[in-house]
Amino acid sequence: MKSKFYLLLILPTFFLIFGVKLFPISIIVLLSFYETTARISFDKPVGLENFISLLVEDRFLNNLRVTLIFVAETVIITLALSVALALALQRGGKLSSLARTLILLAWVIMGIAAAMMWRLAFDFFAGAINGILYFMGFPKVNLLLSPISALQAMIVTAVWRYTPFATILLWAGLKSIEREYYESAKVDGASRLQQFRYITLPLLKTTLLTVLLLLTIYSFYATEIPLALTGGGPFLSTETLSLRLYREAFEYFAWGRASAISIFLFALNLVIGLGYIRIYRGRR
Amino acid sequence: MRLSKIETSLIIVFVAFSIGFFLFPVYWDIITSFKHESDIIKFPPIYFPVNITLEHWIFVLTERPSTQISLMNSFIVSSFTTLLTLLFGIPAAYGLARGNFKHKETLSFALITPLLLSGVIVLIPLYALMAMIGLINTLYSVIFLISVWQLPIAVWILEGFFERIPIEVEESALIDGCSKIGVLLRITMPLAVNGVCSAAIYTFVVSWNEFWIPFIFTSSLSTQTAPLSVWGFFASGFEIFWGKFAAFTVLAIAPPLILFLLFQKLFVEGMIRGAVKG
Repeated sequence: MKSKFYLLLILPTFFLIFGVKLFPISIIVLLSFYETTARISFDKPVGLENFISLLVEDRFLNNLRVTLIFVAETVIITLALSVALALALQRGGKLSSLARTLILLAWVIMGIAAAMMWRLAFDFFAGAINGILYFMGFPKVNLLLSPISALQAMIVTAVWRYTPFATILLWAGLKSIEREYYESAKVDGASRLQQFRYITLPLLKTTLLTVLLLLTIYSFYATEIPLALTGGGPFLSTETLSLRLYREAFEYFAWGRASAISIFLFALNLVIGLGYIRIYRGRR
Repeated sequence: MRLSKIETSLIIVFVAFSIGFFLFPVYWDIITSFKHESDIIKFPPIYFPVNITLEHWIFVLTERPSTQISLMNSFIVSSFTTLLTLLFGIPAAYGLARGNFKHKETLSFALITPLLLSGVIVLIPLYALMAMIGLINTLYSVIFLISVWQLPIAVWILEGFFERIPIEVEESALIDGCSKIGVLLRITMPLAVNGVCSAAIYTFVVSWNEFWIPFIFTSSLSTQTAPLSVWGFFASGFEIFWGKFAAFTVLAIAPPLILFLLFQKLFVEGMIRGAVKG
């Protein structure tokens, strides 16, 4: 009986989230089997047509290829950089905390402004990066108008965007490791590399898994970056699945197709997520 | 663990380079906002401008109608979102922290599942719904939706703080004849003030930065928020006026940065909780 009061406190919030965030998901699932334009209607069932037409389409396969490269590179570079930064900043002291503040500023900047600021930095006329590359002996090219460099520019922006938050999570994880472990390891004569391998890494594993999962989900759904930095160009060469999803939903208003893409993305994330967890459990 | 001098200097160089990388676009944005139009497109670029102008700032501050409207709207949206989120989030978090019922874990889990699905896609049915009841292109729909979007994370931030308050304090108040609501309002809330501030700052910043919800649900100048105004520089024409864009962007990103610098500890704590659980 006592918990009735507490349940009553939770219910409004629960219904709000259920109604506004979870319930629409069921509509999305249904919609993916229908053909609709800019309205919710279940008049034209098409079976698996939405999915099949996507899977045989060159544009979609390219979306998938671009997305996988983008996600893989972003996640790997961000993880490596943030682990290194977290370890470097772990020692504490005034300088470390100043550095942490300066790095974290990047995370507080709104995504759309961040992507636009990088577009400015990469811009052929107004940007700084071309000048720096030219100074280092590279030819002057329009970085955002060549397929390969445009994709790399997106990855640079994403790494910039996600590293601060990954660093702070890892830093918090490192901080929670007891000092005594290192003390006793030192007494036993363990080298620094051994300490990292046998103390830091195992104890940081759960944090690493969390960061890895979040980074993967974030980069799969990163839409502001392709939208504002390259707009998917040149010639759709940097159009990710997330950008395509946005376009199908709110530029072409093909809601059935958009729903199919979102289910595909969801499944992809689920498989990768379960894969991580499996590796995590297996190595324990 | 002692580090040799070489190692220490290597670490310092690495950290300094990283800081440079993270501050670089912000620096470039700020100096571009002070450059003359002709200097902006000079090659090689001018990294340290001496010849500065205020023309972009004057334009953005006095001639661009969107500046005042969008900053004001963002302020309204973020404030009301924060209030609404706390109004629903505090009781829910308290209930989750103190309640002792069977499906607590399930409830807790149900709050995060939407994370796995793209935020943009869930907006489709809501867009249809809002269009039906005529709330498209109003700040009401934006405030309502951002609030619901932020609720799970706010609940998690708050729950952690409530859990840390010893239950004995509440029990003794109950024995003294305080009602349950009274305990929450008079005993627990004052003790959880840090948590409430942490959740409030986090929610305010994230709402300020939210792009997709206003982008999809509003379309006129009178309902424009700051992120949309930033985007407006790009969407409105073929040429981007980088100087003016740069000046406005400084204004648009300033409020969250100021809040962050003032309340860094609370913000980071909220962020770690929000991210790890959410």
